[in-house]
Amino acid sequence: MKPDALVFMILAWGCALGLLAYCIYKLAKNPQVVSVLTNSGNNKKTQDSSGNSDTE
Amino acid sequence: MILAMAGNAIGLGNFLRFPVQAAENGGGAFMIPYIIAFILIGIPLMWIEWAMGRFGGARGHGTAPAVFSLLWKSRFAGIIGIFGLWIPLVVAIYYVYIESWTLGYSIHFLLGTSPAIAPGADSAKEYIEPFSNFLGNYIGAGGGEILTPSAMAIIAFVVTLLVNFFILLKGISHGIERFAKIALPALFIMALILLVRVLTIKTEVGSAVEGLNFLWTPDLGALRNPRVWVAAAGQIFFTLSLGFGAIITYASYVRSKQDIALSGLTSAALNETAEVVLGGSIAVPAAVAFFGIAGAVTIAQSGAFSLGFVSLPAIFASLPAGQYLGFLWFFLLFFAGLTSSVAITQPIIAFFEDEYGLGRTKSVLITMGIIVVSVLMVIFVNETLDEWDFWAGTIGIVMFGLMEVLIFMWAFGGENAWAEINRNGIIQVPRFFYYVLRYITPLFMFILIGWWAAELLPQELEKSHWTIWAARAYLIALFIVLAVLVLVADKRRKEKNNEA
Repeated sequence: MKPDALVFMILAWGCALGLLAYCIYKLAKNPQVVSVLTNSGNNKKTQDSSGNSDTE
Repeated sequence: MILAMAGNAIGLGNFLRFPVQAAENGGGAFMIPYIIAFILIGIPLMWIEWAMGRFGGARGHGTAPAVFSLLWKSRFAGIIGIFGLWIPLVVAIYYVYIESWTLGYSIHFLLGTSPAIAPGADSAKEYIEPFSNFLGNYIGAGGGEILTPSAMAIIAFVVTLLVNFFILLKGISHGIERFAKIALPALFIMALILLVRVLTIKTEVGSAVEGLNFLWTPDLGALRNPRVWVAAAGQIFFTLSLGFGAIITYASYVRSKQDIALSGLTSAALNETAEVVLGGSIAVPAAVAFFGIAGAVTIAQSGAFSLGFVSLPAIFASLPAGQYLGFLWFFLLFFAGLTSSVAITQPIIAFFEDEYGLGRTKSVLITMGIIVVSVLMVIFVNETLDEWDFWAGTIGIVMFGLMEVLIFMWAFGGENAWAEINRNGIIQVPRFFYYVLRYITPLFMFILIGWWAAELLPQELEKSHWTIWAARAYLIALFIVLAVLVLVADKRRKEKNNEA
């Protein structure tokens, strides 16, 4: 590849993958954020897909 | 949750629109305004829509009219909010049809009924001609006012509609979320297989590496052209599915004690990876390898649809095992489309559930009924699709996005909005973004709307054929129906509050 094209491709890929890696790292440290959505609004029906109560 | 949101954002635009925009607007240099627009418009609006959705969901509402009314105590809030139903509904109607083309094409490739390269073809135009005719026959575009789609187009559309119907019927966690968990990893695997195959293409005319050179070589002079900046900002809007109202609805299902700052950022990052890394490395490099740079430029200039439905099939048809590569390409697009179509259909379903207290099945049936009736215009009346895409999918989303920023950051109050975005956040959004959200994002969007109004509206308003006016009339009728539904729901809510 041409050097200038390679630089810009690495820059673009680096930004996208770097941001994704940062987010995955943060998510891995805080797994509670990766949870299912409540089935019908978080303040109405109160069961998620695993049947756990989500009443507030 | 994050995969469902990312699935909403990752659509046909990632694999078709992005490479065409990049190739036409300065190549590698396009990434400079693109990244700036991602920081100044993309991420801020993503956070705003997630925050609005979680705020509304905690109060029992998941669609724009009610959420806007909660944030801004003004009669105009609900009226502006109607656009948050109208835009996703209009886009869903034609998007499901386009999505069905990808399924129809994947079936054609699998069955071996897709066209073959014309014998003796030695130019890009001659290569793609059978595929261009094939697309014309598929959608039944014979140059007349009324379209006569092929049997496969109808069958694929019915199947696509049914698949959407069943996913939506299953609900948010059992349907959409479960599907996203399968579809997103499958989509990335299919894209990686295609990427590896494309990057190894080498013909007498060129190679995929030359294609990467063509796509990424920076033309820094292009940065002086405002059109490049507007194109980058527009691409960020489309690719992240901002201004559709779908993110607000999805986020309304997030628990009120859950983070949105990191979740929003992660879904945006997943979309950008799919777009920049995968989307940028398949279509255009393949086109350059096969047709050379001059041919690829011609193809890019003919637009994203031509690239995806005409040129890529021609390329795959010429490769060993091309039948299966073609199938993989269109099935990838089908999955990308499906994760987006269920998302943009959800706001209207949530509206019937939240505001009229209808059950899931009834809400899905009513929504699908509206789509089935309305899509007949798109399928049979020429130019309806482009017209609807212009008003709802181009101008509409940016206007609505601007309204979201103004209502959240100004009417609701800058500090209130800032606190809502950061509430229970796993990451603390840097304070720099407060000023971006309040001043720079709306300013950037004003410029974008002004530019488009000056450049696109005059051409658009010159169109006066009866099919165009029929398409516009239908859009207005849909808006009026939604407005009546919103006003009745608003009245019911007030009556209920008075009784309580």
